[in-house]
Amino acid sequence: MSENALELLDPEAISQQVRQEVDRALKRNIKGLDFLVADREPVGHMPKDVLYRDGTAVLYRYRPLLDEIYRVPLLVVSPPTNRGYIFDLAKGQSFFEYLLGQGYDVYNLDWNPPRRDESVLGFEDYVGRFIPAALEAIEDKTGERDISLAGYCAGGTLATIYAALEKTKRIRNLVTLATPIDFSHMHLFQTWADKRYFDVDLLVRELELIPPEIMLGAFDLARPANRTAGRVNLWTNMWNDEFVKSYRMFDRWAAETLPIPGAYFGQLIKDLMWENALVEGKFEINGKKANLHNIEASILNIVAKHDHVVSHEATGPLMTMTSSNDRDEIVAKGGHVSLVAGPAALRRLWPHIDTWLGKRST
Amino acid sequence: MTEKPFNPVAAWQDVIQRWEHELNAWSGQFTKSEEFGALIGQATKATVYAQKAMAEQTEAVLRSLNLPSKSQIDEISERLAVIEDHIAQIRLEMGEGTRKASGGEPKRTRKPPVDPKADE
Repeated sequence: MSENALELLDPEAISQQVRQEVDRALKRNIKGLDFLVADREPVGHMPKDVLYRDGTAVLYRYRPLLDEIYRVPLLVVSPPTNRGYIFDLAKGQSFFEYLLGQGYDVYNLDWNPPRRDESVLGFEDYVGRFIPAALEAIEDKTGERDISLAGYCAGGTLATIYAALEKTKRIRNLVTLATPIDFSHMHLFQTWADKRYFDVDLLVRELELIPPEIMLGAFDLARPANRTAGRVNLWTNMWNDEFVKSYRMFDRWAAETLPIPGAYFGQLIKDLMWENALVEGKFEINGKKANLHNIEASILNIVAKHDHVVSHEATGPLMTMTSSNDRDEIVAKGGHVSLVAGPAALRRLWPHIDTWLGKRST
Repeated sequence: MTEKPFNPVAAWQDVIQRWEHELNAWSGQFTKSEEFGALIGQATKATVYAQKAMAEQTEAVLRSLNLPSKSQIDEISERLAVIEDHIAQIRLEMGEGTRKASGGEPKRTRKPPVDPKADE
């Protein structure tokens, strides 16, 4: 028997391994029971105030942490399908906590679950009504007209469409995180909502508000193993309190995906997905064309290397079709959600965002 | 050179990770196909019709039992949401939101730290 093989059979190492595994198995069973009966994991810990509310739309101002902050406020637009607390999951894993700590004045345009009578809300409302109202509230609050506009996923699309409506010096910076612009590269959704087979009018007519399960089903089909593998990983790491806490917070966020108004969904599918109207220069808000060429603000386009929802190509027009002469791009390790939450983003990505945005926020 | 002793948990996690990647890769290919589009289109349509039929049936049964149906509960929750909205509006108009937030507004004069290596 070789020396290496003998080392592998070292009785001391084996007994230590067995002890560790028995200990973890006990903890798994005890904590596993706790997990099954536990309440929802609390999320969102930074103090904030409501500045504006209009049905589904709610604008929060996160209370500044420093005595001296950057002049230009930062408005982050949440995706209409998701709760904004993803930006503020927990201490040490909060994008907003990080930004506040670096001296930004942070606002979040977030969404409550839409009511049935709000099923008629479309992009005209999200882009043409809610974003301008949020900007007005921020200007009233701060006296500052300049703004840094940011958005995550479809929130970034809303912010970009708003910025594309007219040439304006008001938007100083546009920061997009995993933001689809060229919908011809949204491959999963293109096949999911294949024009030949997908009856979007039926869905809008019959459901009015589109339940999240309709879209989550597509994600599950694209990544069918994720849920099971996630559960197995959870079980394996059940002894690890930090892992379980993080798992539960993300799980809660995913489970609380919001329904979206039928009118918005119809436009998303017909205009953006089927016609690629934003890239084609045909997308209109209240009769005004959204022209990417109108965007002159500094742009920071952030994409995730392993994003199976929004590909790098889908964000491409931000770097090629806008008029800005100050454009930068970051391709970060990780997946769709890892850009805005989790300890890896705190270490690897957010400091780059701060470096870029800080000198453009004075 | 010493090899790490065999770790059954790490090996188990490795198996799970490979299974996850392989199944996802296979599904990734399938979801790109036209068949997937056709299948999901039909399935979505069937789900909507089935949900509608089920909702109508359940509504009728609950009505006959003199119990509140989902649509009635939705109606109440929407009316509550409207009331909440109005309360929030009144509160904002009374300036509560701004008053709370405005306690000792910070100066807006911050400059980024000077670091020649910071710009990447």
